[in-house]
Amino acid sequence: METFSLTINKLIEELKKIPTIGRKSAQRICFYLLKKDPKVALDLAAAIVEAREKTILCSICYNLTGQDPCEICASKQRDTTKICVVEEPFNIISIERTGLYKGLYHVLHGNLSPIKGVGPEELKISGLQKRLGGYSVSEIILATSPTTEGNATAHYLTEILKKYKIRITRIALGLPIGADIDYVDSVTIARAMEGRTEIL
Amino acid sequence: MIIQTLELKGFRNLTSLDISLSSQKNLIYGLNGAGKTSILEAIFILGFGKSFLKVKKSDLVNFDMNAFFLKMGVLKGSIETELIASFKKNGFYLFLNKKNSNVVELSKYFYPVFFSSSNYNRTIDSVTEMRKVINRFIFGVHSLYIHYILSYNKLLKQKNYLLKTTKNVLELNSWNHAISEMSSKIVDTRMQFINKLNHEIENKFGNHLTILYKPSFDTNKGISDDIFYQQLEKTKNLEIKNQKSMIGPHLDDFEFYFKSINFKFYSSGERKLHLLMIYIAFIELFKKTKNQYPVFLIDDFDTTFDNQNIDFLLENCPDIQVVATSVHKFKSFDNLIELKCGNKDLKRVKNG
Repeated sequence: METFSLTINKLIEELKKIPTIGRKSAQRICFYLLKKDPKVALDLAAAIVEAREKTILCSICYNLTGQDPCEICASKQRDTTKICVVEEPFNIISIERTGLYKGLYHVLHGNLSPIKGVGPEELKISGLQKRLGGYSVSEIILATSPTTEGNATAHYLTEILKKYKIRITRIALGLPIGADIDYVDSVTIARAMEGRTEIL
Repeated sequence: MIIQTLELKGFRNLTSLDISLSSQKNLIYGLNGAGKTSILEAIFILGFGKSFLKVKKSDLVNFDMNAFFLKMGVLKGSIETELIASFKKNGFYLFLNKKNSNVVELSKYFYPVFFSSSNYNRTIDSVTEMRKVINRFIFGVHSLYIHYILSYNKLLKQKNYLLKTTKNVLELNSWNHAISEMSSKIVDTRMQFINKLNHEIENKFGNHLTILYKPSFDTNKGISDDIFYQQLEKTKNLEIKNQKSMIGPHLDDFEFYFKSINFKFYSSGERKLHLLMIYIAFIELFKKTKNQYPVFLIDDFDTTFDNQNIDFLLENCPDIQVVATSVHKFKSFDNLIELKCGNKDLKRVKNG
């Protein structure tokens, strides 16, 4: 039995469309916004509208940005000989947080998945190929996820980037730092064993 | 490993059931339709996350209820563990000691071997069924195998979809690369397992009985990602034409031979006995690998075995916990559990 008004139901349905938000979470968020000072909801709505209107894709790396080219592509401090290929814009945040990588990025906006109707044309791959002509790129780092789709995408990129005769690497897969080996699942340990490195 | 207790709610025709099992030979007996096989099916689900029958989880819920709940107390060495499988409207979940878990984790504490009178002929006659049996065996002794199979199945689904919807050869190559990587792992694991199992069969029953593994990929030049990729390359045009994958571990074949003659040409009784020998050899291999016995589930015990086979089984598996079902009562079992229709009159008859 529906007990909420049409407008409340509409808000719950809209919130449910957000990834990882189920019905219960949607209801909680909805009632939080309705019970709080109206300013909280209005500020949130305004922030969403403003972010949506002012955010564009960087014409070089396809990262989400407020300016074109994005800060990373426009920076003179970055190492333009390296491009790290990631699936989604938020992957860049994780890599940047390490402070170790100083090269450029390229965002694919997804992975190959015939079932979901995502082919090479749906990904920002042609943009990557164009970049290879313009810069003196010497290394492409593939940072796609270690999933079936992520692996297939990495294979596809390797295949089409062969002709550029540049170094193509894939980020290492294995144990998380600080993890107790007893608590790591066997698939991760097996991957770590396969990707072991020589120390002497 | 030993099942100590089993609790079922809303599962098939069993609205509520709570039983204790002996560490040796248990027989659940009762009339047809009492729910004997459902008990084995519930135990199987706690081991493999799915039924031995091709059935949706929602179809396993009792007509009068909207969810099922399975709980099992297992003893492995001196460690008591609680395994739970529950299905509700929002999905199927497995729990290990009350924490969210998965089949791989549960298999460290519990692994069943299922033998049924209704499926032994199907196992021998159907390549798919045979592959399922061998896959389950390998899953019991190789912790990464299920990951290989699940990843391979995902890749295959994507590739077959691609073959039906587009002719992008370059994209197909990338799926073939990923498939060849996973295939080499599967074929290598299967080959090593069959060698070990044949060795175990020979040790136990002599060299008359053998399993022949026939991979869909040609392995004469070795097993590697590159070798398999080359073969996928050669088959590519045919696959594009037929719009489906034509080569890979999903098409591997296993043949069982006794005195160099395929099991298919033996009588029903002989097939049963020979297959039972393979199961017993696997149980021994499992014991050597995991340093413990699995739990042996036998459905329709009286149909599956004659008196000679019963002795053969009990002699060859003296320390294993057996949970069998039967229409009739057999006094040779340690623990007899009578199941009556509606299961409200569950009776523990002996040592219960």
